Amino acid sequence: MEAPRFQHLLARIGVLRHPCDLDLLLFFHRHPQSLLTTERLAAYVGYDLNQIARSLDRLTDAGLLKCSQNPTRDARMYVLLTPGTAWLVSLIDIASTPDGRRRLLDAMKEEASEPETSSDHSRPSNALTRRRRRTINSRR
Amino acid sequence: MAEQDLVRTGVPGLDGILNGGIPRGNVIVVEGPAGSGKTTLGLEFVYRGAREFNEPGVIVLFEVSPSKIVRDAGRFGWDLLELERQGKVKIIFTTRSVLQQELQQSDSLLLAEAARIGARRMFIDSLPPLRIDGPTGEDGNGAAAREMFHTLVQGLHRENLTALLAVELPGLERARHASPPIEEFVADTIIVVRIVEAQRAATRSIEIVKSRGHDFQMGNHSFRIVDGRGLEVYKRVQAPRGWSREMAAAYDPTTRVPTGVPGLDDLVNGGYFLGSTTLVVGVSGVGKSVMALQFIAEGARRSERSLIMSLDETPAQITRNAGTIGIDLEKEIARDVVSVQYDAPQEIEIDRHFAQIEHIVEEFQPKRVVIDSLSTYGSALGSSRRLFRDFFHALVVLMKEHQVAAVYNHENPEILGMSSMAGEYGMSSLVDNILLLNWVELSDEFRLALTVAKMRANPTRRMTSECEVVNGLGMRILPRQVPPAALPFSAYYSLVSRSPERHTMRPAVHE
Repeated sequence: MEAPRFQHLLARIGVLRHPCDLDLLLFFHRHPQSLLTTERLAAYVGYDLNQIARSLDRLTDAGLLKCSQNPTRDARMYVLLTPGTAWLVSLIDIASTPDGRRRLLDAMKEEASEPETSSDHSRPSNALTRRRRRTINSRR
Repeated sequence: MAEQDLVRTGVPGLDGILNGGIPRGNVIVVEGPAGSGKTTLGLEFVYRGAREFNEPGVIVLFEVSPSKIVRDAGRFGWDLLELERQGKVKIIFTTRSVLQQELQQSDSLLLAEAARIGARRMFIDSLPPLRIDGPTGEDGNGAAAREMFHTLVQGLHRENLTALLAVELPGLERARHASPPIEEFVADTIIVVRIVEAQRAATRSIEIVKSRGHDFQMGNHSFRIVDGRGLEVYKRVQAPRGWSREMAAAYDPTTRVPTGVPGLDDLVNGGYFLGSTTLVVGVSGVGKSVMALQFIAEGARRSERSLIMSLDETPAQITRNAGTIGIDLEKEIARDVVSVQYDAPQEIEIDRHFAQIEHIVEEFQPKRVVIDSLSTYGSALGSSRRLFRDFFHALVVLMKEHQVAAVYNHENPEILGMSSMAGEYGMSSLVDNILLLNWVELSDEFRLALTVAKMRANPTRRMTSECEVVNGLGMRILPRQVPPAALPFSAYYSLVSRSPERHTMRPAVHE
């Protein structure tokens, strides 16, 4: 798929602004109903807790994700609300290859407008994500 | 007494060894090494519950992602996503610690999700084994680990869920453990699945070690994981099959089944009894299969259903062989009067094989059955003579239950004479009739001899008769005084003992 088509797809989805958004969405596609602590979720997708919280809020606000709200509990139930939609299937299809995933991230970078993408809080927490950032930078 | 509320697994064959199912609310632990089939069993338990028994279920996963589980279930034709859409199945990904916390909460999110779909079943995949002497016991004696598992079980009991927990076990035999896993004390039902290696092959076995509140069939049964179907469990061949079969150990003492071999009926008083077991013994190439084909053809001629079960030759070969003696087997197969079944003897799984024969006999309802040959079963089962005898005994009882006249071919390795009738397998006592087919070397030719060595509940002359196999016609028993060009068998003694000698009192001497 050509870059404009990636951007078109992302534009249709609208909500994905940060690599963590995409990674969380992919995670919830593979695990449509998850009962997890935020810490465990952060470990699974490889971002820091602050970024996880922001991305979760974004997905929830966009109506893509529902999560239980109970401050007394460590774990929350996350339910993906559009597990079978066509755009998500397209997205998963693209992201299922390393190249497709990288190009999606590139397209997101180009579309990115939020300041958080360059803040320290947004830095992915593991080596894999640092590599991903290097890849994105090298393509600029 | 009120009928017990048993949860049927729906897994073909498994409810049979569970004597109907598992008492509702039992916590079931399925133990086994990696790749032994725990997850498939658990998925099938939930899938069939939702699909066939209207019992929704929850699948709780810790390591494998739900998308992979959905994909793997699809391989068996189980559409878990569709069942999710219908609100009959829920797949939840979580961690072990969260699950434990959840089951201790009265307002558990997990149990609330289960309640939302009215779940009656749960599958948890998977837990590590908790050992009394293992590191999980904070106080060194495993009390903490036991308490943890007990808490889990109590949470499941509170919701009256029938839960199946997969527990990972190392590949070693369960009996070799330094200590039994804690879950074995706390769980209500324990099922062990294993991969059994034998002669470079691997088979799967399943054992119900314990199940509170009901009776079940003990011992190691076999199972397979079949693409497009799922698990198929085969009761071990030695296991009792129920009252009707045990009571069937007698043949019909009145109805005879003609053999189809000209002249043979005269030697066996008109034929074999219905429900009787006949062993035809002889060296390879002596005519056992020819006799068997004539037995089947005679049944077809009378429109009696007949079954050939062969380990030696494929249906195409058997049909071709039949054609050489004037029997059109294809026509009879097309008429649904004859069924020819073949199973490869390599790596035969005897429980599965017996279950297949059992199924065919129950469905096809044959009056005549030929098993060709017992000696191939003997070699396929290797050194386990006991297993062979158990299998043969199970076959004999099955045929008697269904009032089948069964003929078993058995290859005796001795080319001339016989020092034993059934070799080393010790099955003579299980059979009603024994026919010996034997080469006799007279002058420069082998001549074919048939001796009726045993006919239970029948008078028999135990006479050795000459017979021949004629191209295009098959086998026939020769009259005692022919052929005229040679001396008849009656002119000799010790025909079956490798050293036939002529009577000194023969008429020619007196002349």
